Amino acid sequence: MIRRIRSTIGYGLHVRPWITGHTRFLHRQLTNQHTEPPATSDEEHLRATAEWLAAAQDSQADGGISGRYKLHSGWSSSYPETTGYSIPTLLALADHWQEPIWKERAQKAITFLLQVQLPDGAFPGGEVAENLVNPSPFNTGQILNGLTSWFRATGDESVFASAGRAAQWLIGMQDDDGVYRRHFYMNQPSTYSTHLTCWLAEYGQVACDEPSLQTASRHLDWALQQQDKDSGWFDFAGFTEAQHEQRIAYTHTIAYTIWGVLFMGIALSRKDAIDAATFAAEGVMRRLELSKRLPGVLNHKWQAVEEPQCLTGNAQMALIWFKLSMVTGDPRFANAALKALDLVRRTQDLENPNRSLRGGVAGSDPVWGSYIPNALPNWAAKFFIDALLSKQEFLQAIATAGSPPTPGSDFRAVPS
Amino acid sequence: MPSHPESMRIALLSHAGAIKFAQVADALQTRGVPIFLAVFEGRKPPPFTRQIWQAVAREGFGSLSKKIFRKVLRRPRSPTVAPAGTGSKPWPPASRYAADNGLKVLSLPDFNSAESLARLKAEGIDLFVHAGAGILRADLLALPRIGTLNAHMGLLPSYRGMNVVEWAALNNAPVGCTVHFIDPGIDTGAIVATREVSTEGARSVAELRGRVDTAQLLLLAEVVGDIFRTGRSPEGKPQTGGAGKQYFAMHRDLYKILQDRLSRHS
Repeated sequence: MIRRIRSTIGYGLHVRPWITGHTRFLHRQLTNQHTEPPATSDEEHLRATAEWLAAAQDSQADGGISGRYKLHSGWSSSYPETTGYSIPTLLALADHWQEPIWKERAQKAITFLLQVQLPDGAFPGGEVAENLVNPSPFNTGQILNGLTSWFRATGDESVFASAGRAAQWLIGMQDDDGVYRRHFYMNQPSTYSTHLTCWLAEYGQVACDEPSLQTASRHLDWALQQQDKDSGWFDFAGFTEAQHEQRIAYTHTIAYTIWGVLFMGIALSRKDAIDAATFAAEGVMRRLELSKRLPGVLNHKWQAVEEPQCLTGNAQMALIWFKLSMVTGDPRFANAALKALDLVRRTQDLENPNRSLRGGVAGSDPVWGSYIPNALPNWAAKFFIDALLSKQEFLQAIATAGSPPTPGSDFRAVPS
Repeated sequence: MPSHPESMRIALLSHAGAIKFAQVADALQTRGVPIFLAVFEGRKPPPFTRQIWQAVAREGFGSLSKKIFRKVLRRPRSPTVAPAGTGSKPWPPASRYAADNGLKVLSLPDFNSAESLARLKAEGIDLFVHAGAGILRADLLALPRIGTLNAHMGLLPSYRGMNVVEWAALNNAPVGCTVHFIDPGIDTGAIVATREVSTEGARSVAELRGRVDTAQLLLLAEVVGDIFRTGRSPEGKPQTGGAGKQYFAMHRDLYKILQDRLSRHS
């Protein structure tokens, strides 16, 4: 009992309730969960989340986007990886609202990224305060997505050249069996690196670069071999060796894996990959529907291992489900996407007086869950924005067409 | 072996507060099918304090207090409520219908307990009809000689699960109902009969559901009536795996799109 009281007091001090808005934020965590859908509109959520992402960028002097807002220490330093894949999101916002400020923010992010690119074309892993020299293939892949989308939007040749060097480095990092091991944690392969090679495939299409496409295809072949034929689960989708052994993963990396497989299936015209992604996505959908929420850690049978939600996982799965609804013509996926987004929406505090909390999306719901505990990561906001934009696009398409889309409909999901 | 119609024992599975029971029972009795037994499942609720703590753990203090506040302010609902789209006739809850119509009632705390199964087995039931009960387990389904029938508001095997009227309409697919045997899966048992329902001129989802609801009660009564007259089990067509999809509750945004489309096209 005494230990529990001490632990509660310790937690209370750790999250600094004396900082403006913290107490309100924590109070909401305790009292306002999982009930009725919020009365606020998607546009209000979209605007608030975008403003939070802007605050994350403004908190840094280098033009990068802070990795996360931590309740116990405030904004962390710029995170090149997620700054990279936030670029298509910022460009989509500029397009959505016809507001150039978002494109200017993307430009600032690009300038920052070009400064941290390593001489061999790679980008460093982690946040800039902790590392500027050790390269990371996965993070380089996410930044490649940002560079490619900036080039597509602007035709900026210097950024195209930077993307080319990053792609070349990524091609060189792949082992002969199509797997990425070098510069990965403990040299362990993971299937969520499909979320690396999918951006290589994207670059390959834009640059008409055959080696990039072949590298992506080789990795896809390997990833598809890791799929459980009974459940659709992808082995090695977790962060750690322990997760691999237990065949469990956060929905964040599960979604990375499925998106990567799906994206490459579409980009490389691989029906086997689209089918594999559909199989896995259906398993996650079933979990959401039966549980009425999406537990943050799932096992290979799609059963809950940890109940707190991983909110970025919800948003990422929503993106996948919207995309799949368009690809397969099955509206059940969009239905799950809408519910997953509701679950994120209701966790957001849109009226917090602290700009660092207002409109942000926590790592976990409740915020003390094990995924990015007691913090609001920028990628949760990024994926939530992407998913809200996809939602608007989907609902508009279905309302206009008068029925769910026919399989194979063209759909500009964000990021494309 | 067919039993003589006079001795056929048909039992309806439900719970005391279910509205569906009265609809099914009324449809059967209108066609001259006697109901041997009404079986109601009803667990004793946990102590009030435990209910409160469970609610707090589930919903949090704030939401729960808001809910209670709203409930206190709201006028009490009528005890007899007609389900959406089923016309103007108000249906009483199962317990009242059974009492008003002199039906023999068996109340069990839990359909799946060994005591309940033994009690039901002793009744020697030929046919169970699902009439607003929850999910039925294999041990219970094994009891009746003929099987357990259910009326489903969708065309099987394509549309399993929930809100299938809405899903079929949203997909611009045929809308209708199915009478099928229940097996341990979700709407996966052998199909006995299906019937399409016209969507022509339906102005709302509620109206569409009302049409299918009426049709499913009629179809169920026809099937049970045939069984009662012949004493024989109908030929069910087994569903093959992968023939259909399981649908879940439709999100309000999709529901609204469907509602708008129906109101526009009527």
